[in-house]
Amino acid sequence: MEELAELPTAVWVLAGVGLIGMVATLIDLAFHDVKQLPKGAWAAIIVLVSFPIGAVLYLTLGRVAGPRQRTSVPDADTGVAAASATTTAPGSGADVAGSETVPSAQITAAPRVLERRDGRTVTIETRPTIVATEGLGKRYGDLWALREVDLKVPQGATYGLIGPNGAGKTTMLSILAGLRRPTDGTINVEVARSEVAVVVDTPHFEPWLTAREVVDLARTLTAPDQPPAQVERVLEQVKLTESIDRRVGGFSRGMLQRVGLAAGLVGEPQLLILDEPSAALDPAGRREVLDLIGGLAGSTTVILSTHVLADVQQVCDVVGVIDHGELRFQGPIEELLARTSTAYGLHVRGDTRELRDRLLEQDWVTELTEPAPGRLRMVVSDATQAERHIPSLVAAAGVGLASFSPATDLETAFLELTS
Amino acid sequence: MTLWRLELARLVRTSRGLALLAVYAFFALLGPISAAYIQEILERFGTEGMQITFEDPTPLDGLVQFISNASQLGLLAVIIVAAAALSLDARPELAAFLRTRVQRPADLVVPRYVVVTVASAVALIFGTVIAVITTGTLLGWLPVAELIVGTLYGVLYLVFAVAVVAAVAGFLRSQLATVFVSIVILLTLPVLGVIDAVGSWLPSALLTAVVGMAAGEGAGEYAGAAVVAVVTAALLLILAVHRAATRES
Repeated sequence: MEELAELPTAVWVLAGVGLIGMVATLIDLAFHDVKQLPKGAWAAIIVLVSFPIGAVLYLTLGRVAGPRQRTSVPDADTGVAAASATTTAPGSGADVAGSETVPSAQITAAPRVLERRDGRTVTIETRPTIVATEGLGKRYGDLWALREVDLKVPQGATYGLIGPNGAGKTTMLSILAGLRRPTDGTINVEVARSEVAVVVDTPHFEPWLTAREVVDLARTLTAPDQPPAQVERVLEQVKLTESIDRRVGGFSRGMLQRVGLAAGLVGEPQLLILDEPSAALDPAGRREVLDLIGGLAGSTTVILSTHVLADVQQVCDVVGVIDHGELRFQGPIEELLARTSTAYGLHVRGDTRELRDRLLEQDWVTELTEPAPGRLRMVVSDATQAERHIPSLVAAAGVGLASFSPATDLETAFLELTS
Repeated sequence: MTLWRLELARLVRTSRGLALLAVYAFFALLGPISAAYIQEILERFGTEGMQITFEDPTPLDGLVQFISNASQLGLLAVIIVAAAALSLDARPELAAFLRTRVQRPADLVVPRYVVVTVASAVALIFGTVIAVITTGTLLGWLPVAELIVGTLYGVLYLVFAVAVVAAVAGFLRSQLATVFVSIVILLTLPVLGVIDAVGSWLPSALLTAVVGMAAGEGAGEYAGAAVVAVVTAALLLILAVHRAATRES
């Protein structure tokens, strides 16, 4: 030991620096989340790999920036008052009341024409097409994720791309966004690339950037002419004003989705592509985002993919149903509902046993259920026959007719197309 | 916030810039001190019955010790920091944010490359200055002009090394894989140096140029390697940009 004590001071200082650095790195490890390897492995690397390389390896590749995440993070999603929210759509100048969902018929600003065909009202699209694909196909190995897709998105439309999981929605949007290349077919987008904004379903940003910096980066990249105040405006639109200068590394998934949406809106794009925009949001947050999207109608063309059919029904005026990579339907949402409406709801008063028996005797009744007493739901093969005969069958069964109406909803239509 | 400021923030807020400086500074102190005191250190650590005698250390020994560590472990730190910045597709969602917004594919690569290269160069120069001062204090002073030219050659090697990482990152997604493949390429390249005909043309010759020049070699002896390093770095950078443009997320 005496011999060791005789070592030059400089050697001791250097050894001390190394030891302090290693201990400091280990303390840092204790207070941060890690990636790539478990904490124990990083601790071993810090101690065993020649200092300071072990520490550099951990700090660069293993350390997750920001404080350690606990079970939950305060979420601005839950702190907002949806009922009093009022948002302004960028560029449109139109106010949209946050407490009310705007019906798709009201938010459709561009002209469309209603016509009668075969006794039904159908919508004829007169708006110019802003995005068109022809024979679009995408193959991964032997699997065709998309096949012969002819997508047509009218200018100013809010186009809902719906389909089951794995149907090809994200692949479709990725191709439109330029992130993937099609195997077959052509794409025609009538706006400049700088006028297209894309928001992925699970946005991620550098965790050490603040929300303001993320959106400002998007602004300088896509619309440098926009004033910096635009950043605060869009963050206010997505209800992130209180978290504007917080690092996004501590944000919940819902808050990240809002940041992504703000980054998409900041450049006031002509075409906004949204992949599952409300997937991570709570009901109030979802309502606000849908209102925001609804407020863009007419001024910004929106293509959104989702499997939440209620979202589509609330904000979209045009819908595309994709299944197994093929576009099964494309057109106005009313047309989808009309084309596939074969379900009816029947509300009667009294004993329904005889009525059920009489209905099941009819060739055109394919399915009959009674979810609640007196409330029958049926699927028919011939709507005309059903509408003509059901009132007389009710009368013959001796029960009172409270209501009889088509049980038409998007879910029914969707299931009929994709089942 | 621009892409350049983003890269500066990456260096500062993740402490990677500081880590680079710390690594080079640590070896800049370790090298000369160990050269100066190696005899005393070994005499005090279990060499009973054995007499190890070193020649009196010279100023060049201090620099050699520093460059020896800097060219291996320092380079490893540079590779790690560069891979962390240049592995654009390691996080696809993050890549999608930038890919769908930049006007030119080069914007995805060039700011990252330049900022990491400059940071590495600053770390090398910082380390060399510390090493020279420590050596001068403990062992004697080295010729300044040769040190400056030799260090600039070392900077050119880093220009090449970071370009290698950029190109490798264009083909791989994982940061760890990028680090590993880059290490294999950069650490096996000097092996080719055993062939006399190509040895002086390899960029790896620049790693120890500062030692060679401090020992009296002429600057012209490294000119060929410098030209190869710069030209190869440019080609690798073009390849990295091409990959960024054509690669699917």
